[in-house]
Amino acid sequence: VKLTSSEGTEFIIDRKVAEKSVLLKNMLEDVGESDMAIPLPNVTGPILNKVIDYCTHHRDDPFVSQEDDSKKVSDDIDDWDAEFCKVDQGTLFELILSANYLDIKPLLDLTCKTVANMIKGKTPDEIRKTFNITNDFTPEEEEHVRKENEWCEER
Amino acid sequence: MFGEWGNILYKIKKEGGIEGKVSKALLVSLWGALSSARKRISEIVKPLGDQVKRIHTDGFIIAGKVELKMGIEMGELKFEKNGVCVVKNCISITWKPSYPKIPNLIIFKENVLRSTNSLPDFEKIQQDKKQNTILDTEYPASQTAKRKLSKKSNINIPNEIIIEIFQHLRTQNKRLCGNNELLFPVLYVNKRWNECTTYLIWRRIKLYRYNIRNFVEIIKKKPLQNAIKYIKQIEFERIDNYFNMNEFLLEEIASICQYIITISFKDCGWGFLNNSSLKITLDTCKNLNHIFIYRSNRIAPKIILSIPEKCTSIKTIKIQNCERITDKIVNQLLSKYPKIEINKIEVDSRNDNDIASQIIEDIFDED
Repeated sequence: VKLTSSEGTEFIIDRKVAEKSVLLKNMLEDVGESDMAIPLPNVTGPILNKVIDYCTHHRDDPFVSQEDDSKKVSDDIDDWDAEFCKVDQGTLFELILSANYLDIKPLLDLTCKTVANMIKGKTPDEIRKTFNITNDFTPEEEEHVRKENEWCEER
Repeated sequence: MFGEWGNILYKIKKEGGIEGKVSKALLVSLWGALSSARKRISEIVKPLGDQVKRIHTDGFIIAGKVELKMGIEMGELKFEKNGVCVVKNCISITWKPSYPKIPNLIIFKENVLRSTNSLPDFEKIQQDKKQNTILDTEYPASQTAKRKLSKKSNINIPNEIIIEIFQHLRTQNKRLCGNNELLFPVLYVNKRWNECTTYLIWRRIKLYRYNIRNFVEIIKKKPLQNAIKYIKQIEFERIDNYFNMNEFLLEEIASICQYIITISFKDCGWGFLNNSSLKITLDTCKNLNHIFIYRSNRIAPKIILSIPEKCTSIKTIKIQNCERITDKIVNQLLSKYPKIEINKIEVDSRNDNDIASQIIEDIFDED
């Protein structure tokens, strides 16, 4: 199966690898094998490269159903996956977008978990620093949020 | 979408020959350009059919006038009403905001960005795209490329993905202590994160003896329209008859949270959950799809039998360990309403809690 990234770089991958993506799987089922390259205008070359890495590594994984993976906790990232996610934030977020676009649920889960782990245990200020976010709350609004949620915050 | 095109092309393709090859090529590009849109976006645009002209990772262009649901569940779409949609071929469709005289109403939607940039959103996207391409060519394919946090990655993450990420904070934490502890810091990060978190926290609420009164006070006192709208599921656990303090709380909650879909009661005392409060709940919450009651010795067969009549959209009823609701009652319900999932599972009390929460979990995963 041939894929083209947004800049026009061609990638040739196994059908089995491509089928990790529900999007490509459905497409291949509809169109059948073809020597035409499939354009993926929303995915850049380097990102597509990473996505293919992931799919190749996990090519033999069984397809996980929705219920199964909702039970997973965010700690259980295996070594290969953890190494895979050691990228800068820009790449990580692009991976999330691509995983969503290509509909690769395990990759989406993995990347989202990685971000979740980056958030975990941090104060709001630390989170803002980590993701380079500006606080757009006024102190009054912040107080309002506090009031709104205190019923569930305290134990 | 574009299904008709697809079918026609597919037929031609099957006939073979040069035409067949051409249509195969067309099918491929059609897929790549259109139906390959994001999962969530494709759900949103499905009912719009052929009006959808182009789909991006973070929005889409549609022609004509459409009714669209708004709000957080739709990924917070923004309208951009004036402009022109230029269609050269199925891959090259662009939107230009600057032709005010074209009478044809074109709407461009995309996720509200967090940036304060004053450029129109569309141009901003274009700019970001350029930025990214430059960055990508500078660091080709290298996995360790130390790219500076590109602007796009910071501003273009749609809400539903943010929610997806936060969902993980929630899942993990559920194991630890069953509340939203890990989500609280996120509430104060900024307005957009707050909204996503609020959505997650309020969507599914668990009330115990120690927080139910606070909760009722909060929802009564303030115009929390948004948050209340998010509430889809309420679980009551161990709300006892503590000095009759909890009487009429259920009635109050039902009158405010009329749109809930799932309600569950676990080990609730008769002061809180009784025939009259349950009746009022059923009368008010017409959208109830799932109802679960565990261990209540006051609930009468009559009220249980009336559930399907009162809540016509009910799909699941589960009654466990309720003294007065015998197998006979359950079978009576079953034979009268075969479409509703009704079961009564008797389990030994050791596993009871696990199974109870498991059932709720399953239901939650379904929607």
